[in-house]
Amino acid sequence: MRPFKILREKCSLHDSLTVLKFAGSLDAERVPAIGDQISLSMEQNQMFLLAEMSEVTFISSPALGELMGCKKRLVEKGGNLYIVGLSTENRNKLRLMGAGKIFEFLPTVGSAVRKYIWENENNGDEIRLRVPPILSVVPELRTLFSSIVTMRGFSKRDSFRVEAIVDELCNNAIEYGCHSGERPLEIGCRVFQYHVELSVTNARLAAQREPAAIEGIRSRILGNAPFTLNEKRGRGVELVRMLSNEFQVEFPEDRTIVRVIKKKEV
Amino acid sequence: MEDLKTLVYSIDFPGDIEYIPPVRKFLSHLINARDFSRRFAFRTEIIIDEVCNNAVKFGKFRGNEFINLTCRIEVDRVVMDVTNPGSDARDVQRLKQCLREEDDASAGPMSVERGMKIVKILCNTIEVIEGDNLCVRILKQKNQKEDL
Repeated sequence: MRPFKILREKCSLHDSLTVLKFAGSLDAERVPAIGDQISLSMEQNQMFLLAEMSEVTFISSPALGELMGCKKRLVEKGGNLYIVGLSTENRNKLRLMGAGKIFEFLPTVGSAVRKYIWENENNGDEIRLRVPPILSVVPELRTLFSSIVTMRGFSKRDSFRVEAIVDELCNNAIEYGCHSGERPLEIGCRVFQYHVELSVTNARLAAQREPAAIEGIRSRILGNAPFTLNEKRGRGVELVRMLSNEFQVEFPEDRTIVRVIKKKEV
Repeated sequence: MEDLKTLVYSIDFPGDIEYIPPVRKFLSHLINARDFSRRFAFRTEIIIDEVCNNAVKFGKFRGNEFINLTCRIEVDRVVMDVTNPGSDARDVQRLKQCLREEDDASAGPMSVERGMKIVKILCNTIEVIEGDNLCVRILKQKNQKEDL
């Protein structure tokens, strides 16, 4: 049986986080030690704590109650307490005790760091793809991005709209861009809590590299020419403009980059 | 336009297990659409899941680092490279050891290396490439017998 101990150290993956590494059995008599360690951290202005529990054999109800109380105190001061690395047995027990409503149980310190960054730093999650410029990849791209934004808390309607945007932009990039396998289509996506940024980059054909050709593409994409619903072409870009909140096009060297921002609906 | 013989897909995604299911499904569907059987695609999905989960678990992510998954779909094979930012030397040694070992029937179901053993069974070759980042290269060859 592992002896009880609590080791406090800076998180090696993020300066703003402190790791409290618990080991052994968290019996009722350990409650003061748990409270003391967390209070000490708070006195030193360490408000974001990771309770690392991979070496914990047992968690008693009073110890869980103490952790809940500590989390409440930390949240009131703008901090948080993340529980990391619980064994399956301990995790199931805590869920049965209803602790799943208070804590999110994270598998590793790395996942807790990501959770902290997502909740507090608003840098967004970035996903980048390079795919061959073939039309058969588009349905899979649509599904991929739709799943990602849904996973990040966007509504079904938002994710469907993101899907429509990805579909139109990728279809256009493939239809009008270079079809060589050596010039892949590049899709970038950064998901934030309240908006998503998308960019689709394609290589232009040699005939589309002249200034007059670029101007033609710009005018078509930005909808400078009046658009009517009777037109058979150009409806896709018009749809993207309607579904998104910001729409930009750039022509660096021999590439075309379309950037779109779609805000979360509230 | 659709006639490229070898298709290369590259995905950079955050070191977060939540991203693995959509990524593995994305590639599995593309493999299935490219004349590989559903069984082949499903088995590839299992491989991606295991290797990416290991990359998340053992990679050292300091914020903005990614996992890179490059998948090369050829006519008769799929080659995948899964790269994660630097891993602990002991974990790398453990991984290499696990790949070197012959299948050991005495290893219980709780063996920590179970995931990589499954990958070993499902693919043709696995290679560990060490550098600034750690790359695991997996080759899975089309095998008609597998689909019977």
